[in-house]
Amino acid sequence: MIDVKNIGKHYEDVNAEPFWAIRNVNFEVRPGEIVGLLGPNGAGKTTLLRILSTMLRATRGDAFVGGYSVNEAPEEVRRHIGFVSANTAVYDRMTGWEFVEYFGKLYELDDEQLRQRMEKIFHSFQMDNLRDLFCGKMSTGMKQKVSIARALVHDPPVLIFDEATLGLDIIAARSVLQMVSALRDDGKCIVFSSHIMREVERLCDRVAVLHGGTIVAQGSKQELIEQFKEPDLEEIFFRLITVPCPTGGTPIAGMSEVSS
Amino acid sequence: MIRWKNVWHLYKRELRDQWRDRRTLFTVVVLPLMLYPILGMAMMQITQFMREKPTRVLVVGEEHLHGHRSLFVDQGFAPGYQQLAEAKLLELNFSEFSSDNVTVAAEQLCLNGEQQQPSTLRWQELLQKEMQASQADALLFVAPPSLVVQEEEHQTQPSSDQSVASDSASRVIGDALIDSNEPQLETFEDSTDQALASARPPQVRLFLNSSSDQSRVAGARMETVLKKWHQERLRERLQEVHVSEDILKPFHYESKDLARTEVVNAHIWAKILPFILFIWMLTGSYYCAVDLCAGEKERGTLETLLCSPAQRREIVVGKLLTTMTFSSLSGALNVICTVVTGVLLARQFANNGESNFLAAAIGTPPIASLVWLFLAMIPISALFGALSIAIAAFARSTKEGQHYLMPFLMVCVPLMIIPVVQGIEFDLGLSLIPVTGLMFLLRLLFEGQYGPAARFAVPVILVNGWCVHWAISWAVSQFNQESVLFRPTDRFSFWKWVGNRIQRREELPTIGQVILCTAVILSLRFFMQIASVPPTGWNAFAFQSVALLLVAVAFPAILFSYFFTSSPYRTLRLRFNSIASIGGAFLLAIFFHPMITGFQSLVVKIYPITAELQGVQHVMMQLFSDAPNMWAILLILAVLPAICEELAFRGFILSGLQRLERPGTTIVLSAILFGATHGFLQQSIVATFTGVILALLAMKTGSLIPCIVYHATHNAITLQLPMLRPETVEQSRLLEFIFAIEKDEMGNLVNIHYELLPSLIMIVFGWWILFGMENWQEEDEPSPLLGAHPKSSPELSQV
Repeated sequence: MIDVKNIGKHYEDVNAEPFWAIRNVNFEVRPGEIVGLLGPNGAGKTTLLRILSTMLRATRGDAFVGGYSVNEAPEEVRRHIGFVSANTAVYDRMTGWEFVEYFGKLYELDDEQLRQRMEKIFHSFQMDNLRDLFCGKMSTGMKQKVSIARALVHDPPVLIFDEATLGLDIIAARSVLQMVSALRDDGKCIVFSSHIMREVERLCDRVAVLHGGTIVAQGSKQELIEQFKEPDLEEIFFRLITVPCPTGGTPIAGMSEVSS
Repeated sequence: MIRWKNVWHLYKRELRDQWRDRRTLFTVVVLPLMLYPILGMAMMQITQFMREKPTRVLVVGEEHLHGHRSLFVDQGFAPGYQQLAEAKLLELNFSEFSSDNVTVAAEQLCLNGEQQQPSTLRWQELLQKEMQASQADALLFVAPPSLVVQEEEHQTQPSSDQSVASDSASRVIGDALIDSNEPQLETFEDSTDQALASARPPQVRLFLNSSSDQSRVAGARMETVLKKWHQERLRERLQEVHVSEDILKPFHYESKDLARTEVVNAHIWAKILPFILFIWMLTGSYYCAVDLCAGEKERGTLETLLCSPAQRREIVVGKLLTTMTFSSLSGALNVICTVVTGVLLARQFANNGESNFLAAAIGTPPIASLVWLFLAMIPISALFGALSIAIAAFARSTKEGQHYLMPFLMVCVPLMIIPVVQGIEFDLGLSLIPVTGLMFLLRLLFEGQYGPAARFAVPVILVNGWCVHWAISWAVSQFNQESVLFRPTDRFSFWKWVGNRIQRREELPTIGQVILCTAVILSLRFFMQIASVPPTGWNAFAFQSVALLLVAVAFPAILFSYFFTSSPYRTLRLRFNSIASIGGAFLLAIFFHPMITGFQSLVVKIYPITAELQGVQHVMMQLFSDAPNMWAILLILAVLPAICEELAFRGFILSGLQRLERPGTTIVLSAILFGATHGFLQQSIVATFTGVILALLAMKTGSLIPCIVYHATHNAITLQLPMLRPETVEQSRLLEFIFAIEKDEMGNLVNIHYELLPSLIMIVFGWWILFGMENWQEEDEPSPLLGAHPKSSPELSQV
């Protein structure tokens, strides 16, 4: 469902040296599977996910989402994905219901179909209390729930979560994780990027570790433990990011001491 | 294909969102509703305050008016003057309450008032202090008759004597003369004829402090009373000598206004309402656009929207419609509030019996005019909305968006002021200026002048329509770029940028460097021209021209090429192409000359040359006559500008603009920048037109040499043509076929221009040379018109 082939992104800035944020990234995600994207800050996770959601254009390579190329058919890709970012990105002056309904209409759903879909989402994710509440008055966790509901309103086969639990308290984060888990059970193809090892360990079927713009390891938790001979994912992650990455990325300062 | 259903959803959401935003509501709805009543009330209060506050006048020497029909009776105005509105607001304070210093100072100033001498200034200061001490705003001084005589004597003496007299503080002399002057007044009363011949009328002086508003008001009020007194006295004197008052009126005149009241009302409102409408629609649209674009970026919701299947164009159109709605709402409310407040104020003034401009002139604007005003909101809101969306889409945050408001206003407001300026008439030239043309057209429609409005409607609609289209395209192209979301947020550091650019030099200049180079050229030209004095002879003129071209035009281009690009020679196109291209450019300049002079005539017809400019041209022609020979003129005015300007505009700037990879835009932009550096509007337009040909030539040949040849040849023909001798033309069959000449009685050339047929033939030939010749570039090189840059070539110095 998601097939990333040799994706690379080059940035230029008037004040800084030009650099490759990601290069030669390859991975795939199948329906009914959650792939966790792990990486330190600046590893290129958000850049990669923004390319998959067509907000950034790849400098090199291509990715196919739901069978459509992000370079050739970005509009079709947008129809087949739901994107949720750490920034809850809701309109403060709209209620939860209005917000989700607005995006449903942009996806050209007819009124009855949209109403039924929204009823189902609001009911199954226990969001009835958010229907008539203005988003500006919601807590961060509530906003993120509404944002997920917005991403699901058109029933997309592919979902992209970019650090969706960032800044949420443990109750809200667990609620979001339950939603994501339920979506996998519905057969959705999900990419889930996070900093929190425990979340990824519990939620994801497979993990890809991004460091210095390239994927330095990928596989299921068991496969990675066997490959790196470490007790858990956290130790594997520390080990991977404390060595210089193949593309010249430097180890994270102070990490080697922690890992040893 | 745009999906209007999506646009409708976007529009509906944005509208609801804005409607729920208290800040927008306050700016668009509440502010106009509150502002005008408050302004109106403040105006009434100020008027009331100004009207009712009395001013004080110190009267000195009132006793010298005895024997005349005095202005004053019993420490106040005489009965005939008490009823004057101005007199009612004057509090009189008579001299018995003031010190003798006042009288002395006033007398001295009567004697030496016109002289700027230290003693005079001293008296002035003394008098001011005395006025302040007695809290008087003005001083009315009636000179004693003795002083009148003394003053006459002073006027007949040399100025050096006067200063001596003033320094001697001659109060004693004045006192001594008072007695001798009394009989003269008596004589005046005894014998009328003799009195008219010799009597001296009372001399009254009003002393003011023009740096004080109160003092000026007191002076104006006192002058009104004095004028009436003057008229009364004149009438009495004429009656005394049995002369009819009609002698003062050699003829009668009267003016009659033929305009109907509603037309006059429309004319007055036409000056106010379009300006108010434009300015509020501009601010209304801008604030709304900043919230819709920059605000949405800041809140992170734009990212979500761009992930949806709504097309970028649909998003822009949805936002544009919202901006148009709020802009129109803001404009409409402001217009309605202005009209209501204006009419109510006018009535209030009329009720108070004020002879105020408002009361006299403003009535209700005609309904038809208001209908036009509201209809005009559609194109105005489209224009300002599109421009605002384009600018706001560029801003990363609301704060950054608000920073762009001031430059936006600085560009738009002068365009709105042109139609308001007294005496400027709407013509084709003005109709081609965005905003200005639209405002003029609205004024004509508002005043019911449908004939002239219909004449200019097409150019106005075309120009402003193009602006709307361009702004929407710009906004859409911004939304299509990832920079709309992810523009670097680092603070821009100029020196870091310069350092990076020098360190990481690319082969050709960047767009930023092009903008910087143009700004440097424009600034240097401006400051050098301002700093230079008008040349008095050819040598000074030649020196100034050479300095300007080398320092302000060629030097920045060469410096930028050297420091910012890794291949200065390629950037400046310093390569030899072929002899054919040089010959072709030479012929092209000759064949295209009729086209450019024809275009120039058209420009001058649309934007006529002012008398001032003609004067400058005349001075220039006189300077040429001082030149040692024709070659000097050609070198300074044809060859040198060609080299310097080509290095800058077809060299550095065009090379940088080729990065846009849109040949049409590259050519037009380089031509506009070339035109912008020329002195005045007419010259700039013609230079822009020539700039298009030169840019085409540069891109076709990939070399600067043909451009220099073309430029120099064109300049040389333009300079030489008016100097042709009529007999030279008449002796040559070819020249006679090409040119039409006009001579004066002496046989001198008055005017020379191209005949139509040969012009057309030449233009066709020129066109054939420019587009027909395939081998302008070297064979192994692809045409830069197709997007590729010319390959690096042998350096000019090696040729």
